[in-house]
Amino acid sequence: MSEPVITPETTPSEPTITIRTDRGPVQLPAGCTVADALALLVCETDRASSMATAVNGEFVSRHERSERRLQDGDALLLFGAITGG
Amino acid sequence: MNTTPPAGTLDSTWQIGGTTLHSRFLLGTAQYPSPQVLREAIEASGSQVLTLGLKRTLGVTGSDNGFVEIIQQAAREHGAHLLPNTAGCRSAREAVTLAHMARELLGTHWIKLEVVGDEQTLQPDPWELVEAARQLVNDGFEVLPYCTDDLVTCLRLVDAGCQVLMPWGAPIGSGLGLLNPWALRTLRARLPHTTLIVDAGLGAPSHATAAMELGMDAVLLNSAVSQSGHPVRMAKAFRHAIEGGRAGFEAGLMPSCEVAVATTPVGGQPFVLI
Repeated sequence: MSEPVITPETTPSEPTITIRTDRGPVQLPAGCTVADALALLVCETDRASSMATAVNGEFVSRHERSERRLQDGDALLLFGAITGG
Repeated sequence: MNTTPPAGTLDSTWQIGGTTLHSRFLLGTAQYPSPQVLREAIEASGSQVLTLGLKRTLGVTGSDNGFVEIIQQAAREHGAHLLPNTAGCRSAREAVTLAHMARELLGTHWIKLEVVGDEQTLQPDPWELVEAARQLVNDGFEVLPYCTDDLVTCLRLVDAGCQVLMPWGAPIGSGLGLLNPWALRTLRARLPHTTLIVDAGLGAPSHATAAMELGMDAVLLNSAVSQSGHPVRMAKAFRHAIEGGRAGFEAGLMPSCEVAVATTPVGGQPFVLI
């Protein structure tokens, strides 16, 4: 895994994890949830609500985001609606 | 093989999962030159079912030029239903995950199930397709699987709980028309109570007419409209072609034969005495 490209404010002693995203590796405080990660990756709240999330290829519903804790190495992917045939 | 509808069974409406529809034209929304052209094409088509896809986003501010908003707005205005797809999936697991995402994002339990098994033809993978269909039916989805015209695969999809099948006419985006009318006719005859929608491969309005004359319940297409010289006119052309084909099927086509049968009742040759 390459160096994290996004790092929120953390203290040097605070344990962290690194997750994989379409924006590259992201360093987060250990124990953070999908909702926490989404807040970091997607600034606008309304835009976050128009996205669906998956961790390691498994769907994580809106209701589960604040409960689902991320682990080091997890892949977090965000999906939105597009035109389609 | 006789595909003429039995007398007394004709109905100009049809259903998906208990929802009654009048239009038999399902329209794809991709590759239009502009949101406005897409909006006008939707109106011209009279479609009541519009397809959408899902795509990974980068989690940054971006824009699709308003296409998705136009689709949702048009759906509200025309009372149309959204039909998200699982395009791009290569396994049952991927398709099931994407279907759940689509249900959350778009608020519909309808899903056009796509699981590709070959990169060149984009032919569906029958094993993964049936497995995904089984799981999604159990999860409460109305599953519309995009499949080939293979009879056994279609039978297995029905066994899995699918009430609607979407056999291809030809590979996606090819515009080749109905490559195997015999197979579609066979599906119609063997699955008289299953809703059949020809999906993919149609290039001309006449292809849609032919599909409807075979007794298909509806047609789904995208590229034939969006890639035409004038998508709005083409949407209208397909609308009429589909309506015409269905009307022909309901009227019952005359039996065909290999030799000529004189039409005018002249009673032999006009100047020959027997």
